[in-house]
Amino acid sequence: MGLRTGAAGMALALCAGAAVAQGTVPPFADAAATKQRGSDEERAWFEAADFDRALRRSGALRGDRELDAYLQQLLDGLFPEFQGAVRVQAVRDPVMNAFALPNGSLYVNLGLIARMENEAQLASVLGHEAAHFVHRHSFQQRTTAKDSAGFALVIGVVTGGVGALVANVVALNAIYGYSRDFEREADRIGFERVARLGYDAAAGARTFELLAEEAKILKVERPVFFASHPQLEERIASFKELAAARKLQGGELGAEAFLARTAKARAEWPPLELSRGKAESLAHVLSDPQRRARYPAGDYWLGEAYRLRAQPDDDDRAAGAYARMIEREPDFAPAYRGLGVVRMKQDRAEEAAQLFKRYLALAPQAPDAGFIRQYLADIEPEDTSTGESK
Amino acid sequence: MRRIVIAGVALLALCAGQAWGQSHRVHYTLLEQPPRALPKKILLLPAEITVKEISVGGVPEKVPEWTKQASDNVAREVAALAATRNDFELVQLPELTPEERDLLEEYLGVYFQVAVAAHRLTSVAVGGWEHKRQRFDYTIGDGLSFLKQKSGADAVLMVIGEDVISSSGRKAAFVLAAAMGVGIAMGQSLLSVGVVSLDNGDLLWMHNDLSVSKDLKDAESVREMLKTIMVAYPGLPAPKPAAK
Amino acid sequence: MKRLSLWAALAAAVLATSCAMWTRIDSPTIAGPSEAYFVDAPVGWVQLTMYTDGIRMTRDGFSVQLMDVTLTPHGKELARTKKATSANMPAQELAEALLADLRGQPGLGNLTVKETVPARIGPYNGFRVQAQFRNERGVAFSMVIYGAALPQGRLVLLYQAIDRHFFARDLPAFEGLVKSWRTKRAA
Repeated sequence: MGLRTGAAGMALALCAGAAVAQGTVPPFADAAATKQRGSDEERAWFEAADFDRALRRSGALRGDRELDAYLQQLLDGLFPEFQGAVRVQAVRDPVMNAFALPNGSLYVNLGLIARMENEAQLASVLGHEAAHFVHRHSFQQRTTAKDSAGFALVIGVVTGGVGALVANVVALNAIYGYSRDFEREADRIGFERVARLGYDAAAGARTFELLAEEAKILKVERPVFFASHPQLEERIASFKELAAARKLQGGELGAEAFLARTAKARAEWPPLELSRGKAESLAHVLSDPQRRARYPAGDYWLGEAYRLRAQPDDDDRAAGAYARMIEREPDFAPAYRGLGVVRMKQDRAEEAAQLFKRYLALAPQAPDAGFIRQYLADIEPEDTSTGESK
Repeated sequence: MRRIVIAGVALLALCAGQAWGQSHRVHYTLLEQPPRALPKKILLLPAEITVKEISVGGVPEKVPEWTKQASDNVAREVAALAATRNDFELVQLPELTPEERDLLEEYLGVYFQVAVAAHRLTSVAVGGWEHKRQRFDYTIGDGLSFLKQKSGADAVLMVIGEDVISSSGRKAAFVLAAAMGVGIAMGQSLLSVGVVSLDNGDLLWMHNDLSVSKDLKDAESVREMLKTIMVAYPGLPAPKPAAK
Repeated sequence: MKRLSLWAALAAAVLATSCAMWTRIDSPTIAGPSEAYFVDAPVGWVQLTMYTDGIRMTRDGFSVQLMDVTLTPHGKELARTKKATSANMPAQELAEALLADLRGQPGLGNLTVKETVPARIGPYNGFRVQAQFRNERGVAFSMVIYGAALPQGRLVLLYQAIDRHFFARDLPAFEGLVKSWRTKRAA
């Protein structure tokens, strides 16, 4: 179904390995300094403002003031001298990604927030992205690319809510990663800022481990976040070296505060992940009992992930997960529906019918009640039960 | 073979919906007898002008100061040209609430979607759309009627423009412009002007000018392009003399 | 002579792509590929006849509205999620799979479902989804999708239009098309 929508859906990818002259543009010293910009950098900010507008108008932003306030609070703690100049908002996208535009707009996907385990990890991401802005990496890399005679234009199609809005080098630069040197610099500066606040020194490395795990599940060679250079394993090692060099061990995790303030994001992430067809990724995350415990109705969502992943034996795995959910919360209606669908597909009609009826008894006004009644009519054609228990 | 290639390229350009030079559309109700009344008061909406520079590396980027300069040129020249007309009066955009601004912004987007289709599909070389070409009938709906109440205008004037300037040393190449879905080459300027009824959203009149060697940053160039465009408004055929 | 023919063929191919072969719908009955199914389309709309995967049409241009009908063998995976469908797929599950695949398209990542309800397409049990998305300018587009898992493939009938003015105006024509879907020419 090749539908065309308003967005062009074209993307430019920078030539890998474009040479970068380090130290040619000094970092911003503080918020006031960000107002002193040459005409070239002004262009980058101008286009970044377009991207900000497009993101807002397309409905991609999560629009949760509390969550945005929490992210901003963390960011302002890391870079207090840039308060007001660097602004962060959450994006309703399940992909594990965050990016900063040259004008100080930072965006963090719901998918990243939901996968982080504590505040220290989230802070390491924010620190890294803000470092790209403070050190003007996007502008520098863009300037180099513009003047390079060997610059290669590659047209590709970008999927996803945010990706589709990308129609210029500025945003792409930020989303698809920077040169190896700029990434290392952002790693180092982000690490310093995080360590200065007393956060756990291992947070940065752990973030990359999570990202590497995501990449493996999705079989992506270069995942979106921290995309281009250097390779993820190298980045993990580099963070560990930074921690060792500073002789830092342990530190604040901020797990409790983080879990409380990101609870809604974690509740929204599983259905959002499934709505984008990412059952494999969700199944992987939730199959770990410790991780599953952080997500509301984790067993149910694991059941949904297995059901929709639909690999061999997934029906049985799904059934097991739904059953655990029912045991934990006997009145959790959706688990009965999920298990009923699995049993229906396994031709266990009688069981399926009982489960569907239980679902309808618990949630008679459910939006999908009509489907369940249709399934019941199909598997019990002579019994047009409305779902009341006999 | 050369003739085939040239013919092929020309046909390709036509089929791609590019109107080399100028293209012009008039709502069918303005051509009926008796024709629909032309708008007397036209509200000028903020022009959407973009000026881009293509770098040596082939990267297009918007230039803020040039964009502002071009936008100011267009606003000023449109007002000046309108002042010389006695068939309509140009009115300025009134103060809007934030909700009205958002609604207007959305309808500008709707206009863009509709105008792209209206321009491309009613081009001469596109088969299957003769009925729309012969009876130009496009609308954006009546959602902007609140502007009629606020300003007293009975139509709006939409101006979309794009200019692509190459930095030194870059060979010519086509860049797909955001505006109108028209491929703009280096050194080309596009101005598209539309008049939309505030009663029912009908696209009363649309005129596109794709010019070579015009520069929207230059006031004189803008004046010339707009003069050519506005001379074509409303582009109605002269009334037939009454039979004796 | 050979080189002339090559240029002529190239020019023809380019022309076909650029001109996008259109045909105005003058009589309602339209056949799907290989006459696998038929629908009654609104007269006066314009069909993109070079689209061979199904039936695609518009009244004012695809940037304004479109209707699309496809019947795709289950063995052919969904384009973006690479998921297969099957004849015994429950209707709600088919809806979920199609929506996930749609959201992989540029600009549709934030497609928001307003309602998913059971529906009939011909003799088959299926679903009806109503959804919405906004483009980068904030223009809202609404969509209605009907679908069903048939023995021979997944049947999808889709209508998309600019929400302002167009969606409600042309929705009856789409609902009529859906009602008319059949596997034999005569209604």
